[in-house]
Amino acid sequence: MNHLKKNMGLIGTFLGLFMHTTSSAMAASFFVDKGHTDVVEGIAFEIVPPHLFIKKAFKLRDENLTPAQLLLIREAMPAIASMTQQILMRPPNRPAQAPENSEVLEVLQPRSIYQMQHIEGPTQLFIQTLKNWQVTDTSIQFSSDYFYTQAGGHTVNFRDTYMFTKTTGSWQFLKHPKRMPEGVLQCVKSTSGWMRCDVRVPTAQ
Amino acid sequence: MQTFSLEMAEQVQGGGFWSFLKFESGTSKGARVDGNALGAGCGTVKSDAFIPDILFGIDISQACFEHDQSYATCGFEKSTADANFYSNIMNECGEQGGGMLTCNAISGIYYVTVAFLGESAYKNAQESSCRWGD
Repeated sequence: MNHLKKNMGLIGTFLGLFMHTTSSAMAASFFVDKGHTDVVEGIAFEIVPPHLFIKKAFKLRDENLTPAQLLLIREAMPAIASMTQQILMRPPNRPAQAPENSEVLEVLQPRSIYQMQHIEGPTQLFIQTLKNWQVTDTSIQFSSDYFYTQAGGHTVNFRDTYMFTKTTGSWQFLKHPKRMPEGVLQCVKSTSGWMRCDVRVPTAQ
Repeated sequence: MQTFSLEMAEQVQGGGFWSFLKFESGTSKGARVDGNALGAGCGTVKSDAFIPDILFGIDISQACFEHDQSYATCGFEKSTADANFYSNIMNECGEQGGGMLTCNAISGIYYVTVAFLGESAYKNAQESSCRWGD
């Protein structure tokens, strides 16, 4: 009964809200996201542009992070968001690897999911969450869950892991801790109603 | 005495009626339950607690993530973002076992909302993304 009451309350709230927000002035203040300050364990994170939607995807709660570790993530947030944005953008056509004996100094770059997954045409990659943080004084490791929708409407969820390091006072991408990404995730609907995606568990043959 | 929880009932009847009545905003005590920042799912910082991520038992949060990011991609057409939003909700709803009526209702409600009330959000996101090179 409590369950029903709670749901009916939510339905009422939603419908009431929908009717109230038909004025454009209210809609403007209610549906426009210009950023905010998010406080986690006493550490304030500025969730603001640039890359606002990526910063919102940082999963910082329930990750067993100490305030000191959260401070380091806060410091690295702009660099991590910027790299994530780079991954979300379709890369220009170029060889997957630099030619041998290249004298060009190679800047460390994360691998392209577009190329790995052969994502073609207008299909775009999106970020869902950045999580599984492992933080030391000089390194930050985390996983990013992405998704894209195939031509037939089926959604593919994909995970890769990154390591950042602090050199000369700033954070930058260092490497992928694993030779291969975790790859395509398996999504199931939990009993609480949420779709949960995680690495595929190999089944015994 | 043996207790019988709602979760056990859902397992017995496969969600069914209770699942259909499930509405969740994905927030609790001013924070998102998935650990992300407010506004990461359906809705913004101000509206996250009021706009359901689960409607009629269907989790549509991923469609919301995509819609937000489409708005925040410089040059992305609003009409395309809204149309994709509609079809993504239809697809997610179908994959989660939603019926035709349910899926049309959910996608219709959300599509109408963003199509008629999303203009200022779109303009703001576009201005920001084109200025910063998002």
